[in-house]
Amino acid sequence: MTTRLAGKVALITGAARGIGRAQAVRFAQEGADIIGLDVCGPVETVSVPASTPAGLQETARLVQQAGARMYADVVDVRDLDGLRAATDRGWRGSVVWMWCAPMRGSPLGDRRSNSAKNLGAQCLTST
Amino acid sequence: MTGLDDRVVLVTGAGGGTGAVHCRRFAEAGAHVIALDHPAGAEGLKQTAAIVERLGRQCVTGLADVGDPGAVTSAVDSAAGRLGRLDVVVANAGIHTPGGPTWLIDPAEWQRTLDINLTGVWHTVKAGVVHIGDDGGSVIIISSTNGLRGTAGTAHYTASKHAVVGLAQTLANELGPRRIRVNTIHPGAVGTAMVRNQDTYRRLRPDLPDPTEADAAEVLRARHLLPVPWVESVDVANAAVFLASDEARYITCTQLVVDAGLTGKTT
Repeated sequence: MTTRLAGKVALITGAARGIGRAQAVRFAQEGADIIGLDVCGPVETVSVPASTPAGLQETARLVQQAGARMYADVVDVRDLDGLRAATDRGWRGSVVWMWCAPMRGSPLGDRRSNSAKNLGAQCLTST
Repeated sequence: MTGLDDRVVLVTGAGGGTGAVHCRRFAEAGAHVIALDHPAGAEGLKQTAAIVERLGRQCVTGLADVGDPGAVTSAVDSAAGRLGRLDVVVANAGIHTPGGPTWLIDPAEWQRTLDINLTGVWHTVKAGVVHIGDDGGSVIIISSTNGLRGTAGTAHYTASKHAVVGLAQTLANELGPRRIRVNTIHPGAVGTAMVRNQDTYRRLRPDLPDPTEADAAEVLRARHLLPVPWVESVDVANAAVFLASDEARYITCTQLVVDAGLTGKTT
């Protein structure tokens, strides 16, 4: 694993398969943690088979295998409130990762460490 | 990861400026280097070679004016022979001279610019591609943001930098079957002597009698989306290393802009 993205967190939509999964795994290989979102279900007029929760789980497994963490959540990118909420949950998760792993030395991690303490010692890993 | 271990890269204009940084970054990525510059650049080439060799890579230098096809070909033939292969060509050598209104540009200045920035690239590519083997390779032509859009007073430079885009796209069509990828990089202002000189400072700050670098930087910063006056040579070299690497194996016939948002800024 190289570390060009060590200490960073990447938000990736469409993460359950295909290019989204490839992004998640490739970013993880470079040291980034992932907030991976996907609708995990059918979209009205789309004829290709729907993405699935199992697919998103598989992405999370591959990210972990690459040595990084992934917060996974099911959300439709057309649902702004849902997208905000999921991203926020992922962001809070990433704050805890930063706090749990301060040796990664990210300036973001340092800045976030106070709010992380308020969240207690709970460490999120992939769902 | 970059997959450039023991590949060989040819860089023109390698005796200074961005060319020397290309050589260093490619050497850091594991490549051996053929460093070419015009005969007056011998001293700079020595320094480039020392940098590459300190990194544990081989550097073969050659003195040739890119405007002289015979000199370029014999230098490249000899160097590629010594290193046993050639994988990457970085056609970097170029000049930027004061122009003026298109209808008033000095014909000699026009011709010199075309000779080096366009015909010189053609000579470089001609000399290089014949040595690229069956594994394929990567040709990288350093154009400019002036290869994508014109700016007043630069017709000679702008025409030359647009022309190499056409050259690259033609080559990409011709060389695709040999798995040779051809792309252009379009740097905006780069923090080398080409930008950081008194003549440029005066053009950027006609309001001041004796402008400093800081005075010029203030004007340049306002032209970029990112809060910087220019990009650095290493940013251009990083883009070239990426395009040369296996990570870019399916990227050909495209234009990679490295300009801190110079061309994207609309207000």
